Amino acid sequence: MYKYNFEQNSQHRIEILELSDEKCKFSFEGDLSIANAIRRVMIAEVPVMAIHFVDIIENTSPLSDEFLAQRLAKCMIGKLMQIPLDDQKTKVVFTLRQKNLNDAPLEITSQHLEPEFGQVGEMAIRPVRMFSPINGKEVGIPITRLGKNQSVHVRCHALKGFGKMHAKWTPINIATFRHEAELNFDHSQTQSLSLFEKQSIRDSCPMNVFAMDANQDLIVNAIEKCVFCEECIRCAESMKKPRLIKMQHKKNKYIFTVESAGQLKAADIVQKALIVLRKKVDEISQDLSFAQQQQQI
Amino acid sequence: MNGEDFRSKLREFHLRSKEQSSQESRVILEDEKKMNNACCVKLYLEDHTIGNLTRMNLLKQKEVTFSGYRQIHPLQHTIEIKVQTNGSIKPYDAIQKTFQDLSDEFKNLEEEWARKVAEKEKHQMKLEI
Repeated sequence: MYKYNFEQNSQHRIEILELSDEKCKFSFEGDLSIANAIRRVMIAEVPVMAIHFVDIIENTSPLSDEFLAQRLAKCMIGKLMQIPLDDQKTKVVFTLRQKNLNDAPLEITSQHLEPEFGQVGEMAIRPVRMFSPINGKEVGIPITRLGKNQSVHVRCHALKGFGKMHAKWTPINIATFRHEAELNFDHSQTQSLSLFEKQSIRDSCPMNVFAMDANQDLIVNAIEKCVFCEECIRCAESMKKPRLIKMQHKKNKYIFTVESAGQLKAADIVQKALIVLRKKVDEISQDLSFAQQQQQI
Repeated sequence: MNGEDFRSKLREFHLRSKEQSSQESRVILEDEKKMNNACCVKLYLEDHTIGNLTRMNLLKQKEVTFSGYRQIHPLQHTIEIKVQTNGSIKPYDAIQKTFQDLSDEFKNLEEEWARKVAEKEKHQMKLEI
């Protein structure tokens, strides 16, 4: 059992490899149970808003009422409000009212959802804005399609929740972690490698982990890209040098990939996950001392 | 089905707490009668996230000789953590120490994360310029 010292200087436990609004990759050094807890909380316990109640006033669309309601629930709502969980008093209501008077089918998207409570502009609580990867134009999340003279009129009520309650309340599309690799060369054999052999090992790696440095020596350049395909080991074996490279998991080092579904920024999801975990642990600790006091009485 | 069940149980719990106007505890603490220096903690509305975290980190303390957790039934949202110490500290104290260490750990991680994100964003803005 790896004895991790809690008093260790925790200045360099996290290294961010990639960061954007949608996606974040970072390496984390710590116990497996902590990494897994962070992953589980990112998926299931970070609160976001989603449509929960749908009042259907008119629905002549090709989708049935419950199907339409389920499609509406999948529209991600951005801009988290500071309201209590599962609170029904705060009216976060959207109206969708469309009628197709043309011959051509009308596609109803999340852009047609209008907020009812008067906030406009950038600070409005509205469905997440999605942009087409092809031409960068704003597109909406398709809800349904209306033929001629079909119409839909619904009022949707959004609530705050988290993934454990229903999958619509999950902030992520991807939240995974993998081990970081540790590649050790057998130094007695690396001295005797020819330039061609070194280049073939470097070229065998599909993720470009190896590189040649200034002295024409083989070095490990980007260890975080290694996916354990063992192509380099196979290449070394084919050159009759079977124990040249040793591949292991680096102990207690994990590489996380987080992709947001759009409601929160990727970096915010991780931050909120850490806050939620700390609050959970604090709450249980308090409850435990309360239970202990009660028992003693 | 499990999610909706969890949601209704959570609502029930919060409503009960409001009615009694005090924070109701989700924790039941029992002394283990069959083992020495052991206790059993039942956590309501918790799952493997907290269970595994507590169990693994309890094992890091030298005084703890046994620590395990289980979900009593997959349809019930309760976990049970059993701790046994070698006698020098009480099992209840061992658990509280673990929670305290974990809380500090997560606080440090939050601060480090905020710092690293700010650095990376600054770095990226410089590259754009």
